Amino acid sequence: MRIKFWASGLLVAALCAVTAWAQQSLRLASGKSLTAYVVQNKEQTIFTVPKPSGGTSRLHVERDATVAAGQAPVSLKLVAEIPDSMLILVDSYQSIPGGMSYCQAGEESFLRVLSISGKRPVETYRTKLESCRDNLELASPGLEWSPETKTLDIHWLSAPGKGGKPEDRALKIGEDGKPRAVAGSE
Amino acid sequence: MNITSPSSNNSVFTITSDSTWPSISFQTDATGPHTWNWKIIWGSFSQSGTANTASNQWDAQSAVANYGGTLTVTAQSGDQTAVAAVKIKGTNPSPNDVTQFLASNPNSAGFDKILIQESGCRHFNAVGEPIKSFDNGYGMCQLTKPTPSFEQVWNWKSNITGGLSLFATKVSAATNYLSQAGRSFTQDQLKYESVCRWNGGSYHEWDNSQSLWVRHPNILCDSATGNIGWDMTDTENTGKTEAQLHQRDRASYGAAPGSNSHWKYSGVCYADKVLG
Repeated sequence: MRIKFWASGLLVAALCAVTAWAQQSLRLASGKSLTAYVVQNKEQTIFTVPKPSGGTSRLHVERDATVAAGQAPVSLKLVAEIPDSMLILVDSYQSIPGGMSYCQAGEESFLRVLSISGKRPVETYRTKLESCRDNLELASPGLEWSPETKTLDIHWLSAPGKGGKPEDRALKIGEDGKPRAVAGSE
Repeated sequence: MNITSPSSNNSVFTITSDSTWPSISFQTDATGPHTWNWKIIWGSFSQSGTANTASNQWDAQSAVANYGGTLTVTAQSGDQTAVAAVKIKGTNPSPNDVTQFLASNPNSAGFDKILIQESGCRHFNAVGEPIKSFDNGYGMCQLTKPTPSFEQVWNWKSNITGGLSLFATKVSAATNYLSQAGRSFTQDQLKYESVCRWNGGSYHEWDNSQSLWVRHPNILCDSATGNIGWDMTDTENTGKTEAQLHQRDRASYGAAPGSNSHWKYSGVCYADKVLG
């Protein structure tokens, strides 16, 4: 049967695709790399985070239903870093396309705060940042980090849960790497 | 008792191109009051009901309006029953029909062009049944989620209304984007911005020197495709012509771009292609 004939070829092609482009990396202040990748058909992204003491830890983080299982990040950006304490990242993915080319060129982005001071990295905060499927959009500028106050300002043109309305949100990062919303910012 | 009209089982009745349902007149050879139990089925969609008449005639037109497939009617008079089944099929609208229908809907500018580009305004297949895509997208707008109603599957106007509700979210987002900081924009810019966002991303960027919205200047489109383009600030693309980039990348268009690709799906190119 023709399908069976092609099956092994498809498997090889799929595996090649995973190893060829299924990860994104960025360089931290320490000079070490943080990597994000996805295991085929899995719905979580795996971060490989360098430990202060050497070696790496893996952290599994959630996406949502607007991202296809097995979809690797198309970009990974470092928004802010407090060395050996905290990272703020944005990982982006292609949207699941709908009929009539709906969101075929769209992206879904997640902002995450990772506490890296402990034995293992912990995701202490996550929010959907931009989305074609959910019509979420940042203003310009959308993210502003103040190293002095350790505060991240997020400016949405269309914020999550706001029905297309704008929102300004300020997150102050504590010593434990956990963010706290600044009163009056939402 | 027999059903004498329609004269044969599986008679075919056709919805017109402007979505007018046909008269489907049932008649028996009995007399007196009748009860008509009907059920219409197409795929996983079904609807049923009961009608009562004082005579032996009943027109199913209003009962089955907006539905299609196989209609089975059981007529009952006293203790006698008879059953008949007919087929209801559809006729495609013309692009002009679609454009005229959309003209009566606010915030639809550009959606007619998307429909022409994506489905050629076809709602029914060669045998008069609604088009169904591999991912269970139904009809002209390939409605998937939320799962379309039986009416949205068979009535192309209802199907377009369903698609328009999704397009309206893009028009709203485009309006928010273009009007930020009190900036002004034209209706033509709103149309391009909305169609671009249907595919993904923004079409315009603000030009501070001219104080107006301009098309993203660094996107070069592959005019041989529907929505493939290049970011010309990518050093692998800078200085190259469309023909050179097309020649370089066309072999990889069969799959979505990876992190090593220097081309991408682009809503800007989609809007340029759809709107011209």
